[in-house]
Amino acid sequence: MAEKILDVQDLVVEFKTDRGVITAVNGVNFEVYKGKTLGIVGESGSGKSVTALSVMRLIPNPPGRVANGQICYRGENVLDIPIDKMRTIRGNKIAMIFQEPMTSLNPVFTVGNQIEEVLKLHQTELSRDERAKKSIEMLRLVGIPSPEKRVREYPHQMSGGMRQRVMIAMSLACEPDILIADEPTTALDVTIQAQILELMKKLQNEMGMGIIMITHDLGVVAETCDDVAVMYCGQIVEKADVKTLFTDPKHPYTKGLIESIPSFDSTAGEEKDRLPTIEGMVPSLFDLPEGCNFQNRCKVASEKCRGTHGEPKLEAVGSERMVRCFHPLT
Amino acid sequence: MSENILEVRNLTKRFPIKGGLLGREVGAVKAVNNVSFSIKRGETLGLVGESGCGKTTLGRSILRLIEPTSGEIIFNGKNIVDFNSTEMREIRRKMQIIFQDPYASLNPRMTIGGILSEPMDIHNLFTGSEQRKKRLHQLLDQVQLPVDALNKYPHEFSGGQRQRICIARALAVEPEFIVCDEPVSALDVSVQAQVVNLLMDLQKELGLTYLFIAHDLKVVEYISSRVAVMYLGNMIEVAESHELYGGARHPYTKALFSAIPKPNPLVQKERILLEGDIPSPMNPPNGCHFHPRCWNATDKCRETYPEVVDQTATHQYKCHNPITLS
Amino acid sequence: MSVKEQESKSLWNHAWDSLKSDKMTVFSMGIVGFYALIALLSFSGVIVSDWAKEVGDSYGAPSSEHLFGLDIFGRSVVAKTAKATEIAMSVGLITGLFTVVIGVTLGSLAGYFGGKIDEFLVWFYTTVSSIPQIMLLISIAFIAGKGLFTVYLSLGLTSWTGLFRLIRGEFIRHKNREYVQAATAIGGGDTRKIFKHILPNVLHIVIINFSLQFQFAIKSEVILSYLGLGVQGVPSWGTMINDAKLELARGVWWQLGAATAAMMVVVLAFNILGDSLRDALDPKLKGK
Repeated sequence: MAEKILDVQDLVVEFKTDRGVITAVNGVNFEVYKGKTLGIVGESGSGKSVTALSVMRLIPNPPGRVANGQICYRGENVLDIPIDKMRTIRGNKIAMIFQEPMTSLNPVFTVGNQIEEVLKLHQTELSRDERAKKSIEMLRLVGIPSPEKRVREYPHQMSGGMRQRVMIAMSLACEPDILIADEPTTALDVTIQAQILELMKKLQNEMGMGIIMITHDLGVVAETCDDVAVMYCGQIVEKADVKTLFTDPKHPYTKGLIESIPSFDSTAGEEKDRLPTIEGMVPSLFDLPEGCNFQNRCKVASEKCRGTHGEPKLEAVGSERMVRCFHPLT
Repeated sequence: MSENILEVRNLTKRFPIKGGLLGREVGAVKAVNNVSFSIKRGETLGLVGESGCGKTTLGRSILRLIEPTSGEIIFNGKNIVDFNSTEMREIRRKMQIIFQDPYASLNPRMTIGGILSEPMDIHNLFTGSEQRKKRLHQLLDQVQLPVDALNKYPHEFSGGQRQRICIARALAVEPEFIVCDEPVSALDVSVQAQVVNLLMDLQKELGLTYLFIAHDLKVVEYISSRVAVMYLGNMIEVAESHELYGGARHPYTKALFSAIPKPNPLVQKERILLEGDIPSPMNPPNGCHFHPRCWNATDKCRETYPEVVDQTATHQYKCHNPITLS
Repeated sequence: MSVKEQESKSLWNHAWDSLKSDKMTVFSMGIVGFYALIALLSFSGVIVSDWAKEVGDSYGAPSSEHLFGLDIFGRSVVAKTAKATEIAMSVGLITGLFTVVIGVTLGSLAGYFGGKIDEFLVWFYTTVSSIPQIMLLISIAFIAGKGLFTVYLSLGLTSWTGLFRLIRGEFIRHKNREYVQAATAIGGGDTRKIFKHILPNVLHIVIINFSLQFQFAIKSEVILSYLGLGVQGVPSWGTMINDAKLELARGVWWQLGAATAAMMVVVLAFNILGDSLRDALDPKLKGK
């Protein structure tokens, strides 16, 4: 049984805006295990990125705040610890990589400097030479050829794929327990994406960290994740291991998402049917309906879903899965 | 009327790079390099490729939004490269474009009614307020937007809705051919399918021809009858969708499709991982541009650029050492 | 698809709402409005048409009747200040108009057409802007002679450079934006693209610039008048401050005080207004 290193319970994150308070994350629970990857899937407004930022306590306050919940890293609730203790964890025990490597790397420092900065902060026992050597080693580890030369290059001199590798090198420099990857390959070309995902898998096998993979791409989820949580309007609507989720989705939203992806199975001259779609749009967080958030787009919605029974709760269906629905699919 | 609504011959677009003290030309980027292809009336040609391949430049050059450096663009039998502005205005009725970014392609200061009316005003169509009103309602109906949208502004709509407005604008002048430049890439997954369905419905209803440019290979394969693959400004393979996905001859095509993450965790497939980065189009490798990353590369590949090979009437590729079919 | 049933608001409406909601901005708009009103009333002769009348002793001190006392000729300082407001506001307005017309025309031509036109206009702009404005003002004033018209001319011919640069930059940016490409694709020509598409989206910069120019023009007029090159025969804040040179030695501060205070208040109001306008008008372009 893999070791549980992160346990998030009842997380609620709110944001104050001109038009009122919105609840970007509304009661989210999940666990991350060593050596395993948890996928958090959702579209815009689902709250997946806000969830990730909360684990690192990076929600800007104001206008945001964590209104409720616990984020237990190795048994200790990081929401309660003092900020300088949190800083020793960030980048060191829990690391994060972002979607846009160009804007996440500092353009006026060399990539070597940026890796060394992480080491300087958290591995203070290393000397300057040792740090320099380690940063070259990290670049080699992430598959950058001629790392001794490239360590002195600036971000703008590198391609998107290279910069993402540098981000990964920075995040793994201190051998963290958890790596949070927020849409790490969305901005990359497809062949480069394949390389980066392969690299992350390889490094996970070697270093044993848990990964939280945040994405909207179900293909990426299927290839990289062990467990998946599907988010909609700030709540988890389905949680299961990856095989179960794809072969037997129980929430209508999950099923809709999977079906709306075209698959490669055309034969010559075949007349293409229309793609199955989820009708309507994601509701605005200012304007959520009474009852189930998904009711206006759901093919199996009934009167029960419209508020007479309150909101559906996340409940176990079978042994290894949870669904938030009054009518889970059979 | 010929079967081909569009024939592109030897189209090249080069962007000069200025440098030095006097700003002289020190080099050039061949964004589109000697590309030739044709599209039949009523079909959808998909165009795929990664960064720097030139697909966006190609799409815009066909409409002369970017002026081609050389080559011919034969639309309905006439070469439009040399058309003057009056003749181009006529052609612009027949050829339209839908852009990727639904936030940047609508003028934020105009109402939807104004945006949709503008093309009709330019071409003097549906004049007379009754006729115009009817036409506007018809357009909104075709893209499934409510009639009260006419008085609203773009910022009041979501990405998917804005894209529908862009489609309506393209349809306003009753075009024959539409370049779809990454029309769904900026949209949420659940909305992408809606817009793809809309485009397919409109094609059937109005007899449109599409050039569908995208980097999401799954969507392209779904909507297109034929697909063309570009790499560093060159069109390296064209084939019917089903031919390409099963029987790609060019190694890059094979690698490209194998790189797509499949939404099916049960399938453990052999994936081809390409080495290295996509080279910069400013300095393409000698010979075949793909050879540094190609596992099938031979000496000939490093020296000479491959010519077109016609495998069938619908399947062409440019490779000295293509994948052997099983 | 539920879109709320409310009157559709354009970006201008949103900007106005945003301006209305900030108290400081509303207060500043009030001040500017007040000054404009005084200027208008003074211009039409409704008030202070008798500013030149002698109403008391020379250098009379401030009293309940004459809040800012009297000048060397026994004229009411308050009346003079009010009259001078007319001068200041007209300078701001006329200069602003010159600036907008020249700056926007040249800037849009340079930015939109590029090439040789742009090269020439940028050379011209660089030349004009590299000469210190004060020197240009003085030179033109010497050639054209002293007086209010000279002030208009000299300020108008030299203040357009900032706006030119901004407008040119905006045109270059917008020229390649997709909504302009879309206008080309539907068959639109240059005139339509410039006037119907790009210009409305660049207008907010003109408005912000106008409000900042206004106060700069007022300050410049003060400097010109202080140097003796400005308006003659009618009081302006600059001439009042100029006169103060002699008066301070005698302990007479009220003319200086009135002119300076009047100037400071309106400049401050314009500054606040300019900032608020920038906040209200600029970031709406994405509208998400």
